[in-house]
Amino acid sequence: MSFTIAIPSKGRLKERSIEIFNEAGFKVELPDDARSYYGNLKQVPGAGKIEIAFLSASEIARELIAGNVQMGITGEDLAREEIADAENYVDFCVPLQFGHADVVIAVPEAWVDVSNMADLDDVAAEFRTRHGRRLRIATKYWHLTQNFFGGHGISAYRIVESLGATEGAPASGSADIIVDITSTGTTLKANQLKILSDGVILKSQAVLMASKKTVWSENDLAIKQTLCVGIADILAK
Amino acid sequence: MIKASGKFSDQLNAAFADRNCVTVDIGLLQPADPFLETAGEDFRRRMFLTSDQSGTNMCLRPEFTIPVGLHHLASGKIPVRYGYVGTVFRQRAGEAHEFIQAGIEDLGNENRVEADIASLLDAEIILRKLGVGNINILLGDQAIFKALLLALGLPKAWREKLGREFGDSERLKQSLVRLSDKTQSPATDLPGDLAEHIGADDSQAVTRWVADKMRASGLPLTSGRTPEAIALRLMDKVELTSATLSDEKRNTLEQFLAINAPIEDAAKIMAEFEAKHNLSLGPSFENLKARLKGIASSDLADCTIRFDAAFGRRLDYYTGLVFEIYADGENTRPLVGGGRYDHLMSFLGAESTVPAIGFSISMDRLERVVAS
Repeated sequence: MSFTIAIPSKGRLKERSIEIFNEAGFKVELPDDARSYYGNLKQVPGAGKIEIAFLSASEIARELIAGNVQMGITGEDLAREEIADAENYVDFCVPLQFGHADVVIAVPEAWVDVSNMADLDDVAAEFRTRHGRRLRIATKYWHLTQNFFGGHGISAYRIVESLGATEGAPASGSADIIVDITSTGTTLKANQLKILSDGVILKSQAVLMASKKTVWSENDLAIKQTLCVGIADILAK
Repeated sequence: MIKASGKFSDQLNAAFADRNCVTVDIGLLQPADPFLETAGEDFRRRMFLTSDQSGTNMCLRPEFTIPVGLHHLASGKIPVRYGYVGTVFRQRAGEAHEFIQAGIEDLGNENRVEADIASLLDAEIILRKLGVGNINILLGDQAIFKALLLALGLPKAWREKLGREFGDSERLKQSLVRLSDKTQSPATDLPGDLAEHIGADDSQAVTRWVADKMRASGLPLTSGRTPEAIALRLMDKVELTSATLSDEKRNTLEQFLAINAPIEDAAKIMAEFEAKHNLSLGPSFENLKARLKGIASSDLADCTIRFDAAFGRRLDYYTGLVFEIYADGENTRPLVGGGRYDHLMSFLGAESTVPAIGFSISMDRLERVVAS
């Protein structure tokens, strides 16, 4: 079985992933055919063929969890959203210091009485009595939301699935508050939403991960070690 | 499992008839929304969900109380006692996800004390019939703690918070500590003009401020939280930031939560508590005393019954008596869970309150007890 590393197929995440391998002294060979999704990683001491698969970031999380690829680079948020006990499926080897984004709970700025989770608990509890329905949360992060709210003992809410432009949900009336990803907070601010003081569910960044659900040969483990050490060293400089 | 349930179902159906119950058939495939709306989003993790072609959320029947309630509303007959037995599907740690539940729901009986005692008797008689030797009943009361919070004169926001946490002793303990913390700082970072309106106790100006802010954000003013509700809660909150729970009241609450007594002594201990702290707990206390006396003198022979003042369920449709029944030899998970849920039928769409009490038996746990 060949050694496969999955990296994001587009945008900044793709560029930074390639850069970081190259900076560490390895060499990412892009496919000759621009439409192909496979390249190679060269100049890894002691390694045979290492295939690079260009996939969407959320697909990378799924493939790592399924054990279909040995390693990959994707957002920690995506792995943790994919499965509740992500540590048992994926080794979070090296945080890569890019792709920073927080998964946060944001409420309308007009909710001047709500600044933390305890406030939100009060509001959620009285919601049905006052409005005849549960508090609605727009998000694509089902699991992260359920776990975090469960940890705060809050269950009086409903999730409304949102696959894009989540920050617009409160104004459109499709939800009351949101759980979404933010890097600078500007989109939230533009939509007059504020993050609860204890409402950061996860501080996420791009991470070099290894699957725990694939069979690791001695040689594969050596490759993993070489890649992790090489990249960690370059980041430490 | 199926064969075993067949064996039990004859006995169960006979017991339902003896106890004047109508047996009811509930579909295996249920719309998911009523469960999620009443039990909350946390329940989703324990359900098996799917959707039909139109995208409606459906689930495998996770329990019976809610569909029996909906069935009752559709048929409109009051009062009725329903008996049921069938497979339910629920994700349980360390136990089968597919198991048989049986139970009785008693809907519409206005004589609550009578119905409460009848429900306990229902459960006891069925367990005996199915061969359970030792029966240990744990009783709690969902209403009496709220009555105590009221009698202590605590602010509404605190009463609601603590009332919500009843049944989760760890969380409740933390909240009591936090509320009595005298070093907490008022966390207010409000805009200056808003702070001024609050300082002037001008609720209309605060409401206007919030409404303006909502309009500027493009938020709907009527479909969700209203400016009035936000303004009101904000003013309450600011007023409470400087308040702390007195040591005396915290002590009273902690002493109450520590009450755990055999049924024979429970009413007396509660009365002593009320007298000692010079409290007047009102009708829910009279109700509790009547119920405890009734249970103590009922036909629940050879059962061990305890009242635990801190025992409650964290679902907001439970309103009064709650109980669990354990058998010796398997004291970790209850065979039976039940209680009074007078709010549920209104949640499901009833126009007025329907008194309701019921319980369900986990037949797989019962089978293990009977077999051992």
